[in-house]
Amino acid sequence: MHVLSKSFAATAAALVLSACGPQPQQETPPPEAPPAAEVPTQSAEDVAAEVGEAARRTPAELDPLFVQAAREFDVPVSLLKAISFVETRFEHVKGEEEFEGRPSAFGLMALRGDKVAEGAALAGVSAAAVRDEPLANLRAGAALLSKYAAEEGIDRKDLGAWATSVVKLSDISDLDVQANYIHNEVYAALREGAGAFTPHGKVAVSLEGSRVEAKFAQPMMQALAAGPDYAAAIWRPSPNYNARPSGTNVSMIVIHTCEGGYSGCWGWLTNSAAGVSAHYVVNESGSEVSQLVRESDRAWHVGATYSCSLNGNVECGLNGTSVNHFSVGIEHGGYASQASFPAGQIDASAKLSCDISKGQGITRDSYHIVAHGRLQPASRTDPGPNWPWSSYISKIKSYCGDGGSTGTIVVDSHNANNDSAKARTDVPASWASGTSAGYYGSGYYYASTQPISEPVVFNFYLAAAGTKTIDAWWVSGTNRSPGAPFIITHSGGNSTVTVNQQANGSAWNTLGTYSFPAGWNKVQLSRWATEGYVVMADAIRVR
Amino acid sequence: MKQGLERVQRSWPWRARWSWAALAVLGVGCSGRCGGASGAGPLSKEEARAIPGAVVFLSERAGQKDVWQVSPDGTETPITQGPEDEYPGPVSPDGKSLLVVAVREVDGLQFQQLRVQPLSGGDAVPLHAPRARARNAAWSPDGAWLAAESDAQGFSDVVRLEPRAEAPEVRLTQVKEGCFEPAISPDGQEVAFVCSREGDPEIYVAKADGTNERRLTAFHREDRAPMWSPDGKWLVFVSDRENRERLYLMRPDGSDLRAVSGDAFAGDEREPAFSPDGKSLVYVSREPESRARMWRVPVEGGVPVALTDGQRRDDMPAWSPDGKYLAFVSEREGNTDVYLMRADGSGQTRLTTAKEPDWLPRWVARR
Repeated sequence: MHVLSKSFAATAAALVLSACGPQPQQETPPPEAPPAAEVPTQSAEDVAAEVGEAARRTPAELDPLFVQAAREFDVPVSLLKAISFVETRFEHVKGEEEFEGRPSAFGLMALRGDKVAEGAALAGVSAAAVRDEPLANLRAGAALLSKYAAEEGIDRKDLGAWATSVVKLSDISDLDVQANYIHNEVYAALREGAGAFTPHGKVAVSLEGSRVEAKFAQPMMQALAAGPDYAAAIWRPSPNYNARPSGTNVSMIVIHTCEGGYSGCWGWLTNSAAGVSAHYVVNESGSEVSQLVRESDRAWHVGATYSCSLNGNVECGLNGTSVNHFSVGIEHGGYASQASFPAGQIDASAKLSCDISKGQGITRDSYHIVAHGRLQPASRTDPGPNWPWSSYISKIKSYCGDGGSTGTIVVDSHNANNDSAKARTDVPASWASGTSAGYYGSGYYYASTQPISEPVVFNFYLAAAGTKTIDAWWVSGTNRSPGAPFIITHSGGNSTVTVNQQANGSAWNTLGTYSFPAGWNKVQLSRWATEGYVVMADAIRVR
Repeated sequence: MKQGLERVQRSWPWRARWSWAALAVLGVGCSGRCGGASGAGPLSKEEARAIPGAVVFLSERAGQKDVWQVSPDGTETPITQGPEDEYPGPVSPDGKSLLVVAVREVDGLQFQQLRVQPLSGGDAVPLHAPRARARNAAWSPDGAWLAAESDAQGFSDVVRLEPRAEAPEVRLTQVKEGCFEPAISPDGQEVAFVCSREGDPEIYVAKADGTNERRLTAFHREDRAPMWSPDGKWLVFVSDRENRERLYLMRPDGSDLRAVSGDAFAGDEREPAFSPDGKSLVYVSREPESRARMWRVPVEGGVPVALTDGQRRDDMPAWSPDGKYLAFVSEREGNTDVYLMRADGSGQTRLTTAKEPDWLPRWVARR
């Protein structure tokens, strides 16, 4: 914890420094400083960024409002907070209708349908206020819970006895889903505690953990099977699917938000009455994924039938190529409108998307992994106002070992394009930059061949020792060196590979395969070659 | 079978997981480079009336999405009123028609259809049967043909078709992983587009018949949304190569690449719009809390100048045909509406008034 505090303090300083945009770049490359052998999986900047992202969801201090609502209706304040945490992560949400027949959720308590009006009446406010105002929403939720407690005749001082009232507040009808919701979500939050800060660092909501058990039936003690396509998922089969037409190429992954919490979401999608489903549901923290439908089958996440009678009954001519039909759908606990998405959820979803893309041969880019809304030509909030698309796709590629990840590292001559944790290029000031066509990334550096030691150094970081193949990319031309010397430093020493840069340009060319130790390694391009030419430092690839 | 998941045990009290040190700086924001001209008063009615042309835009005032038109003095008239969603596409070179993408969900399945909508009123001409992908269409400079994204014969291809009913489509690309977002050069001789054949999107240019394809970008992240400058000397595109979305300019052979905002990156960049004379580029930077800001930068290089103050969401810039004004979308006064301003950011004037969102403006060069 102290270490964390220190790193946060460092982060704070860094954030202050960077608050007004980019700092001047260093003119000269830094001296070789071997980094620690362990690269932390998450930097302090990452953690601070996550804290900042999460804080956007709770712009104001809410603790006094929870206390006020709880006192007024004689409901445990911790229970109100736990429900709000599970349903909305303490965010005052404006839900949308994600599944036909399931009304949208509103506010800190995610009240739906008739409960908005009923809670409003009990609290003596308008339904609009319950939808729009945090305090009115909390009061309506507390009033409903209080009414249910009176109906159940429970001992209000016994926190565990409130479980039956909590279930009534939800719209979950299936007993086993209710049990999961109560024990694994609401009462888990009561036991573990939860909290949120405002963007200005004040406590928005604080729920201290306490020892409590719900007085409610346990979830079925069946052995939970792994998902048929994704072993890290729990298999909760939904009846709402049909076979894909034969010869179907699954070509897209469509990202959805549940417009509600996780248990209610998979509960809804496994209910035959709902008539909708998705292949997967990822919970808010990323600690659990449910698989509901086999990837080889068609989930009903974007409709269920082929019938089409648009425009005077013109045949739609959908002949097995329609992207709408042939996608894998992932639902995420949460709301499209929420201010940010938990890093753990994005991470778990990216791992899942990587797995799906490998299994189905889906291209990992933002044309194939899309938001439901991106099926449309344009959207005001496309691609989703706050879903972190760019980093999501890059995480998927990273888990799958695409370029720039643990599997493959590209070291570009332009450091802005490099992941500084894994790749860096040191370019002497005497090398000139160029952008004639055919370069990798954003251009290249070149220098005339002379008997001087002034190499460009491509540095790459390996977490573990291993055997890797090195490729190089250059832009060819008649004035290039026919013997450009690449010097590869590996476990066995230095090897020099000369290449003819007058040919084979604008493509990866293999220099060789070598064993490298863990830590930073280097490949250098020397200018010390037969004079009268130029050498081109553009990019190397480690695979 | 062993369960593949274990619940993550959160052993610390929640408070110990975060540190006040990090939180104390969350409120620190940038106080520099925060100029802009949002505060300058609205245009006079006289000045607005003198602006040639009108703005077509997307309105949600009827529930579904329709195309509407507004004159610079604020007179709003509907253009489409169909039950499906209609998105305004590009205006035809002669200014008489608008390409519309009609979108309808039937039993939850989405279908798209390109239509040519006469701006003088009357029925739209559907170009094909509805299907799942028909969008991102572009007009040739003589108005004789279109390029668009189509899934009629594959996942997504760039196709060429004429603007008439049941026009046959000619595939300009045949790539299993898909090609997208065509842009026709100002001389009508070439088409720029995106293909994912390498596993990530790259920018390509081919002749208008699909031959002589050449690849312009090479990087393992995303290069998307190419657009030609009016003089055909530049292409602008979006890339996340620096782990942030930036706009880049390059020559149509791929050379002379540079980031539009140079050292003045202010947030993920999008929605570039060349001025009609090709000398300026306006673009949008996305900033925290869903704010967006518009900037103007000389195409030949220079420092971006802010056109809006960055205090709210101002985006979707569209140049007037005379290059003196910009239509844009702003979320202010609790509403999403189309606004107008001079090309220097002054005179910001609300054009549309519906409570529901009005967005996606495009200029029509006529009175």
